[in-house]
Amino acid sequence: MNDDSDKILNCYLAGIAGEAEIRALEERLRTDALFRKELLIQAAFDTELPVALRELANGQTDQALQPAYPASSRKLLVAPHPQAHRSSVGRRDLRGSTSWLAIAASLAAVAGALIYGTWHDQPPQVIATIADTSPGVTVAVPGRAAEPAMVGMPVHAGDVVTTPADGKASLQYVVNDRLEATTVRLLAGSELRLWKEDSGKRVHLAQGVMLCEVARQEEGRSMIVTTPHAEVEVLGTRFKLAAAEETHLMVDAGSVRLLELASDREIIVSAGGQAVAKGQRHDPYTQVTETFDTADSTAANGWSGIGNTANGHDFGWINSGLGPGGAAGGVFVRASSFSQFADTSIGTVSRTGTLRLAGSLQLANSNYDGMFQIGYFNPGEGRGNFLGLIFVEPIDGGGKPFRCYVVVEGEGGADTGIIELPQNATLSFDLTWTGNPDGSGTLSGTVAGQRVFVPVEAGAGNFSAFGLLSGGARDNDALKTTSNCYFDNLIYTAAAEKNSKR
Amino acid sequence: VNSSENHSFNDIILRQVISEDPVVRAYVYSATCGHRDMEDIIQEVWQVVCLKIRDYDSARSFRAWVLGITRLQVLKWRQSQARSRLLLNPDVLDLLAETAEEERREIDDRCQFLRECLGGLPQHSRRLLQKKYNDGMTIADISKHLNKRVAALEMALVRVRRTLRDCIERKMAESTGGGS
Repeated sequence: MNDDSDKILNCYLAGIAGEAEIRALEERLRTDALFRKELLIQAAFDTELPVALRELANGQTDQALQPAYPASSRKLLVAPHPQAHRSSVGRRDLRGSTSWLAIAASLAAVAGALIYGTWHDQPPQVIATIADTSPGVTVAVPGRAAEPAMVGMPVHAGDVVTTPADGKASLQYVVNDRLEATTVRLLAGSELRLWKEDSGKRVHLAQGVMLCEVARQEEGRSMIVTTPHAEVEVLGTRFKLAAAEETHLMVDAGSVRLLELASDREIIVSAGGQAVAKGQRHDPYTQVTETFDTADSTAANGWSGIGNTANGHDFGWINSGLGPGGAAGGVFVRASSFSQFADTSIGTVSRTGTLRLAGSLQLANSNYDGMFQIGYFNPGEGRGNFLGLIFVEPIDGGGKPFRCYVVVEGEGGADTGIIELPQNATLSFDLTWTGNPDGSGTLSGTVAGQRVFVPVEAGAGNFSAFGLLSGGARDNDALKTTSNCYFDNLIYTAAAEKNSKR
Repeated sequence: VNSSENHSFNDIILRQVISEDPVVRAYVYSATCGHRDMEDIIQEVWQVVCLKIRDYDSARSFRAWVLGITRLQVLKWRQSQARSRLLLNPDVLDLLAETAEEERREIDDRCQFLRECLGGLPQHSRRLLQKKYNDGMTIADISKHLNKRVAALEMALVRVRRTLRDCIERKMAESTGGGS
């Protein structure tokens, strides 16, 4: 475009063109498609420039503009999976304009790794970093209070990013301590969860709108975005996804595969195209939330067991008055190599659904007694399919910490490394299983204030009971007692069909 | 999510999608030459989309449908400004809407490249743009603030904008395989 045209357009868009100039502009616009395009391009430039500048300002390391997230203040949390990432501070960023972010993210990961190393072998897995945020945006680990999002703050596997009704946030992916060109912009009223599996990036948009620009992903490691209604697979593209009563997909560049969960209908949506996925996958289950009250956990209301019923033991459980937190407490007694005590009234719980296991307990030990488990399983199948916590008592008595694992057993199973838990203290846990249509999923949350995250590969298997197990592969000692173990306010929530007997 | 206007969560999502759409914004801006009513028009577009969403044929492009509604809202606004001689005629606004629909992908790309190019500007250039476009300062205000001549600042602003445009053009050429 020549300077005269430029001048005319600038005058018009600045609102300083006179009538004669506007009539001349009209004539040109009527006959010249390229000139019309140029006007729109100029207008887009003018309207986007302030927006882009704001985004850039929020992404500065300049403290006057916005303080970067203080990496060292991030609380120490238990890492999930392998791959201890080592620092690469100072490496050239994929996108020069945001190299400060690479440094911030790396510092966060390194700081986490150093402190973390005093307790565990692996640093937290940083999935992304907050590149831009407005007030009110939060980052939360399931089961913990949400933290206000700050620019440069790392987002770990399993974290939930939530934007308020008038807020926005941008996230940029981190791969091996380096920023990747993949970005996610979250608009108002959105809730997003990120994690990674060996087969690629995973995102769950529970609600709201995300504008996603995905850098080319490695072959066989596509990014999967799920909503309550759809699954979107992408190798590298730009698209918008909005989830509310239904899911709207708009593809700006490249193409993606969209699977409508309710119908299993699959379509490829190309650049410029859009699609709507309606209805949720039919879920035959009703949600059940119950509190594990040891005083009321009898055969009459659905609890049953296999194991020692002698000497006044009720399926291995001995009520022993109130625990330290005021709720019923007791002792779980192992009678043979395998005992169980379970509520079988919840019906079958699907691995593709959502489960919550939360509560508190106190562990005490005077000698080595073995191990026990709390969670969902199938009575009579031994450990088979199991989802929950495994506690192993210390070999010596006094004062040594219990060992704990957060575990999903069965197909695609995985667990955390050892989590050490002190004796004679009230320990809370809050775990959430989020299953996907293919039976893969994540078990995440906190145990005794420590973050846990267990990504599980696809597989089959359901759970028909909640309760306690004793014995198993990790320890086969028989006739042992898990003594002085109190359970307070133990809650389990399952998307399950209740049996008619309750 | 609460809304004081009794709109559903879906509606709020639509508002976000529409108000964030650079093509909708560019069309409304160019059709109204940056009139102060621009944001109101976009808000009205959202309201109409909410009312008519059930009529939307999902076989059509959603953005094209929204752009069609935008065009009608701009025409409605144009009628309310009938006495003004400083606005484009309706037939030209229709042509602009057609072009916006045809060129929406390129406009999207350019907006993305704008962000990348801004990141590559020297700090002092970005600061100047910030003051002008985000802080709402006039050139005269900036002149006092930075203790620089108005004419020099005006020229600097023109140069920075030109630098950005050149950068965007270069990236566009590279992305379409025309770059060196």
